[in-house]
Amino acid sequence: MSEQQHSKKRSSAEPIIVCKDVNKWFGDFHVLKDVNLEVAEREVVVIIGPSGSGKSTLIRCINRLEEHQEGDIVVDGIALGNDLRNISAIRAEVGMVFQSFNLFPHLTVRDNITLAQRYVRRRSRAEAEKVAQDLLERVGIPEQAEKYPGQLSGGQQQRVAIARALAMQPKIMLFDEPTSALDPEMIKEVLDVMKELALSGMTMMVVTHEMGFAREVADRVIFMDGGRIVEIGTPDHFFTAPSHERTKLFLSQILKH
Amino acid sequence: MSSENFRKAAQTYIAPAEPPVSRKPPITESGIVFWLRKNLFASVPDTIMTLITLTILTIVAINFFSWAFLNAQWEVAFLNLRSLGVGQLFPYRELWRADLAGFVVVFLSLVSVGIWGRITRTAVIIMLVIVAMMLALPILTAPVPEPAIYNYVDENYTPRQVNFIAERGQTVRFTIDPLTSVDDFRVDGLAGYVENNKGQANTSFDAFNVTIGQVTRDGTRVPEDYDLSVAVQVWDASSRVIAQSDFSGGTQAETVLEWTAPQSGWYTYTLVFDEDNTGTGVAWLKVDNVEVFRSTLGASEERVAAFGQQPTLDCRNCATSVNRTDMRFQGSRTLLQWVSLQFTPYLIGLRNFVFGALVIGLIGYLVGRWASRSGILDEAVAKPVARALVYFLGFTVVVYLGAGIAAGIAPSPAIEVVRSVMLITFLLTGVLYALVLFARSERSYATQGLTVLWLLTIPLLSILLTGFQTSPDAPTIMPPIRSDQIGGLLLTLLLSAVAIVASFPIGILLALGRQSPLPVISLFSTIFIEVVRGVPLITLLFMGTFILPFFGLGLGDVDLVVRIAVVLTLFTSAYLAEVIRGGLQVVSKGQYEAAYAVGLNSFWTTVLIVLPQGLRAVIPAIMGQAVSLFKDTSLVYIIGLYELLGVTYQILGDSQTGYLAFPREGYLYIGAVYFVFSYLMADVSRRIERTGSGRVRRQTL
Repeated sequence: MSEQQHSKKRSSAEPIIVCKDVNKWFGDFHVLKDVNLEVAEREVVVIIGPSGSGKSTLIRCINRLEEHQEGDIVVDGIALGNDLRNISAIRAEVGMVFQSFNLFPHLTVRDNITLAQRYVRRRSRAEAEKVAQDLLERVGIPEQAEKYPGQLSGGQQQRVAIARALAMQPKIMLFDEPTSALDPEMIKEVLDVMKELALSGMTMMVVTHEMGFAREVADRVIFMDGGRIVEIGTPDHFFTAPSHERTKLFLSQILKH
Repeated sequence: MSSENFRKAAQTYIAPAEPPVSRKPPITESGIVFWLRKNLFASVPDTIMTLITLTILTIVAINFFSWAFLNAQWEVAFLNLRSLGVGQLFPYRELWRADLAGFVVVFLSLVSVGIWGRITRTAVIIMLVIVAMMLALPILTAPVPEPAIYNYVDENYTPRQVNFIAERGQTVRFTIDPLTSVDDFRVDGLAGYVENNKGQANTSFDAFNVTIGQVTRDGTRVPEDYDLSVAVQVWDASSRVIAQSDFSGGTQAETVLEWTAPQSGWYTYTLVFDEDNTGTGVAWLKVDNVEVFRSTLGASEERVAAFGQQPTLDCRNCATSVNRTDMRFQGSRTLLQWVSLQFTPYLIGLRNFVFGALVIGLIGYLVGRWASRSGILDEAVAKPVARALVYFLGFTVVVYLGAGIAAGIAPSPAIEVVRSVMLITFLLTGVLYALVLFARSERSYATQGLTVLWLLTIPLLSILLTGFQTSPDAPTIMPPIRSDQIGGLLLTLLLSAVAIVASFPIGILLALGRQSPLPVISLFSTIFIEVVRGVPLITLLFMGTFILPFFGLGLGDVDLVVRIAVVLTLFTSAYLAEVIRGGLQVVSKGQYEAAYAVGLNSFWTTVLIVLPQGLRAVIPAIMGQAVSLFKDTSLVYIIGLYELLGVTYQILGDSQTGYLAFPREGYLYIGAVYFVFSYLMADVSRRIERTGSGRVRRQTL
């Protein structure tokens, strides 16, 4: 991605996600420690780090699948406090793609995509199915609409999951290790969809181990370790001249093989 | 690296470009011989076990079938189909309502099959066999002579007046058969019935045994001293003597009277003694060619309809009378006669209902097929029409309920008429609405229409089975039927259907309640489930019968059948709740997260994501509960409801019915009925498992 595109995106940028001094515990375990982060609209942020570093927990806090205990998270102007009543409305603005796809196995691909549109967005069935078909075209599997998730390959399932999230026309997309459960042959088809999505200007937060994707698509890369953000930088900075010792160590470990 | 480099090294190998062709397995690894060797004769112990099992099975089968075909008197089941079907007290003239209720259910079941699936080849074959058997009825009805009736006679113990029906031109033969040796008092095969003046089928089992005991034990009767002088009289329905034999006094069996009925109707026969010379001795009065009434209570109404009321007798002597009849099945019979006795009555009894059900089912199936793919109604028309019909349905409901409240304040016949009209309008509009939905293009509308129709069966069946009358003396084609008049299979099916359908939502609510974060709800659900599961069903049924009235709140006034249905519902819902809770736990956390992540709230997540998956996971267990409940309804006979088992018990156990001798046949028959229904339910459950995503999971697992 060229520098020109980066600057163009940044120029229109308002922070759409703000995390301020976020702390979270699982029981006694301190998962997130004073996390401060702003994500601009249309920005693609890739979060990397060793397992247990709190990457997934962080993005799960953003659509409140996890609750944080201290600090503020503001998504699209709405603070995720304790007294949040219409949490579903906010979640509808934030799409999420999971490592294990989590498609609804009892519904066809089409129904997976139309369900939330009809029950949350209150669209008519015909309208929802039109959206679903367009999205299936976009992720490259228009012919699979009638099948059940169990009949699809992992890569196809993950693309359906992306389509399902996009059907709500979210402002933000969260990806929680979307390719970790896939065979190598299928990783590319999912990454291609994600790249296309990034180019279209979607605000994305991606937890991944795909360094090639981070380098090529990300506007910024965030490195987390032990529940805190260790380093934030552009991919160029990050992969060529990381500053923090921990980042250097991590990169040297994963880039070695 | 070129391929040449690879070939140089000895350890490399490159497969040909064409993949190898798949072949069949060797012949020794498939086929019947292989199956036998693998499953029955794999080793020496295996072979021994196989042989022992086969021997036992053979012995059991030979014994059972020789009894079932050579000795069993299946008429106890076949001639009581009506009692087994709807109970002994179901009004004869209202039978069509029970039939109609059955047809409605058959129709909708087949509409459902038409929409959701296909009739399988097996089902078609079974139906064709049934039709073929019904068509073959005239061939299968070989004439079998009526068995003789035997009446015990001595000077103190003369036969009472016995009512019987004779068709015009039917010749009845009366024979006096003196008993001149103790061997003549054979009592085996004793099972005779005749209708007494109360319209009940009778035997004189007990009285006869006493007499025989006197004869054979203390010698108060000496068979050789035969000197009776008796004559046979036949009376018409108004008790006028229309035929009389000469007095008979010989010691040889003698036909004393052959009488031909001048017209169809009720007659009475009795014996009279020569007043000058009664004489002493004992004899059988043998009556040939009079039909004995094998069917029980309910059948008398049919005879009244055909032949009028039977004569009332001066009752000095009109208690039990027939001491013994031969079984029509006994003696040597041709195969056709055997079929005609043991099987044809069954086909005849079921013929009308089965034919009706087949025709109606076929129509239903075609309607279902049509509904699942029709699109004859343009959406531009269908949509406003459907909406208008829904509003109209709502209107009828509002008026009906409003009239109900008005009737509560100021009862008047006019209000009742309004209510009746509204009810009928509601049902008709509902059917019309379902048809409109069927005619719309999308398949999901067909399902909606089907749901509407099934919901309509609730008011429709309750009208059919309880009655429909605007006021107690208004004319009606459906007079009220009390719940205690309903019995047999109908009651079994009603109780099971109500309990299964009603317990399902309650079970879901209890399962969700038990998992609820709110402690009050969770505690209530847990206590309810554990208490109900900790108490035997029998105890709960007794509670429903005897203890609930003491709770006040008018519970004692509630109909017993309703109370029992509620008890069965609550009982099943507690078990279902635990089954469903197990299913809910199968649904992974990821499913909840995915549902939340697309913005579904917890209500829709439960309804659209969690329940469908959780319930699907436990379909076999849910159906197991349903089957188990269906069989458990047989327990209600203990508290005095005559469902299938109860009515069988009534037929067999009541000394009035005369079927005392055939408990095996009766219980085996209803066992088969229970089995058929349970098997159908299990089969339906397996088919449901295979629908939708279930089909996929079977493929992938």
